[in-house]
Amino acid sequence: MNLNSLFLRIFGTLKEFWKIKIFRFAILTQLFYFTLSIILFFLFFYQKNDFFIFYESGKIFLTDIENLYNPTNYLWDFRYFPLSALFFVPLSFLDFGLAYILFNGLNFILNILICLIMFKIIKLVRNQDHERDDKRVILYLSFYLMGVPHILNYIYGQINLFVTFFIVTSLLIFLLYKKNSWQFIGSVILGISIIIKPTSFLLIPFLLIIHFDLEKRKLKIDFIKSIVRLIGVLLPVLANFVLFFAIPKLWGGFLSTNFTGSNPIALNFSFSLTKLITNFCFLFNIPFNQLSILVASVGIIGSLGFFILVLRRRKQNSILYGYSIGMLIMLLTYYDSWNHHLLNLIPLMIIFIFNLPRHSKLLNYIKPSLFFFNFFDLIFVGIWYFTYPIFPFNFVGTFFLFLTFYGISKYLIVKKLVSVKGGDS
Amino acid sequence: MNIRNRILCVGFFLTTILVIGFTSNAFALNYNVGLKTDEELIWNCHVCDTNKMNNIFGENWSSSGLFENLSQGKRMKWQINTIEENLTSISANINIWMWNNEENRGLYDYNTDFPFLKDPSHYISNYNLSLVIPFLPFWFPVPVDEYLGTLKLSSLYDVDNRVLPTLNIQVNKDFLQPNNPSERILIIAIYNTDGILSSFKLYTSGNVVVVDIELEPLPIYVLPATLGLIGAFFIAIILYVKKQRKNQSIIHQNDKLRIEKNFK
Repeated sequence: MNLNSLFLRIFGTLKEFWKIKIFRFAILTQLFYFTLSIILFFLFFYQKNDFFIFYESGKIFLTDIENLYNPTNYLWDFRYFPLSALFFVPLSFLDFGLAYILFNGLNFILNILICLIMFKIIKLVRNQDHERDDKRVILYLSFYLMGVPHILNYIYGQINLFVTFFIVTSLLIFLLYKKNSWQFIGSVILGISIIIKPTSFLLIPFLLIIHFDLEKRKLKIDFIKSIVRLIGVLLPVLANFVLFFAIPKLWGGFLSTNFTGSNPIALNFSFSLTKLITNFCFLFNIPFNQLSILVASVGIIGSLGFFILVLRRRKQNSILYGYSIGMLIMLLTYYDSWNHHLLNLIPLMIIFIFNLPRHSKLLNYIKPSLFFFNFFDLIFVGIWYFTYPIFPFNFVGTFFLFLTFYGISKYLIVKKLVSVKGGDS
Repeated sequence: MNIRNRILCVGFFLTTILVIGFTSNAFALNYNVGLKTDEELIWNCHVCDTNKMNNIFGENWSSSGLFENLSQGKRMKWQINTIEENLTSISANINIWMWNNEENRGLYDYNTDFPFLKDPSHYISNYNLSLVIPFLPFWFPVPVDEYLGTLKLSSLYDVDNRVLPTLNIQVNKDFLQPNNPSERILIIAIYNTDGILSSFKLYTSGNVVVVDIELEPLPIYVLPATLGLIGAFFIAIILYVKKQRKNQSIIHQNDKLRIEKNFK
């Protein structure tokens, strides 16, 4: 397939989507978010947003890489892998305002591409009892585009959509192609998403193809494919460690801003379980070690998720469940899980909804969580500012993360699924 | 709208954005004083481990400065006298009643001016806000997050203004003089939107709180908002579960009727 025919296919699909009223409304909503972010940027948030950090990091990467993690260079800390700054080098040559507009324009295009990839994946994994036409799929894609987390993502000039784009692209490759060469390409793409932002870091263990058959009591490991995937994903990540090795000051800065410094202690509205615990300790003056809390949370929730995936009874599309569980573990356990990070999870939830039987009872867990994340979570961020002096817990998001985790785990573990309409499906 | 008009509209939109983009660099923030004349501010000391403080900073840590006479349960009161502004600086003149337990405080202990440069970028690089405990001022000009973010502070300080304007201060062992402090300490100070210190916590290793000071009283909306949030959450859960059960029973009834109909 050449580039021309690819573009023709993309435009053909978008033309089909455009016929549906809600999709047109969703695109208008996106354009509204885009315009609003630009207006707010020039009026209030000029040089007070995440994009300013990325823009500066691009400059510092070229001129003074040793001080990439030096907090005095930024309004707030640069916390990502050093190679992520490389992505912003081209933008850092432009005027700051222009770079912001271009970057958000790119975010808008990425959203369209993410929708197209989600559409393709849903077509691949859609359960047989779903409607055969695509109206419901387009409805959910429109929900994604209308999602409130996009507002902060645009305003802050955040890079979550790049991460989502690479996650869904790698997912599509894993689902479409079984050859080892494609497994390698898929995992390299996932590795690139980790370089950009380590939100997808905990997806790595779920690349392993390992399954314990509960009926036959037999452990199956696809050793070669697992190794190929691990090498693929770790190559881009380890490239950062070459930099850490060459410039040791970078390693100290990276550790301090992400794990051991004062940032992880600070009070904020993150809905991760780890942050709820550290906020609790902060409020009641309980001595704590932020790294121990992180390690304990990742250890408990991470191993639970991993064992559930290993013991799964559903054999098809296991990579989709692995990605979903990995992302849930990340959002539940890393210190800062904010509203705009949900843009990494929402597409996976939508795909999962179409993978479940149409009337599965498990939708009672997944659908409310999806609608909460997509439309209501931001309200609770606002409420947090009113309650934080005595109640600094943005716990509702955590509740829905656990609900989703429970729903997916139940789907993987139970023998027979109960349908809302009664009987099994 | 024909294609030519559409192109013109898009062109106009993009040009406007570009013009705004190139001109907005000249936009400068105006800093003000969040304090109000005659306003009274009271800080309450919830925790003060005097023995530990003596060990860390020596016996004289509470003999002068804003921590003079500090101990657990005591309160410090400020009354704002005057606020002065000129082209380059802003200053507040404040009556201070130092830390004590008494309700009837009598005449103030000190009358002090707290000046700030209006433009935080005019402070020197590697700037230290204070080199005596508590290492920070109890108020800043507003918007406080911008002000803190623009200051080029020394490596002692780390500003985190992503969510709440927060000043993290890490003072290493022997920073002031040999064995002072006798171990590494960490301070987390949070300021409110008026630029007033709302929470101050001093930690030693293992994040053990040695000093905890809080501005009082809490804003009036905090308690109703918290109770409302928790109440609404539980009501929503109960209503959702009830609705699901109702739906289930309707589905079961319909199934029963269908089976009976088929049987007949």
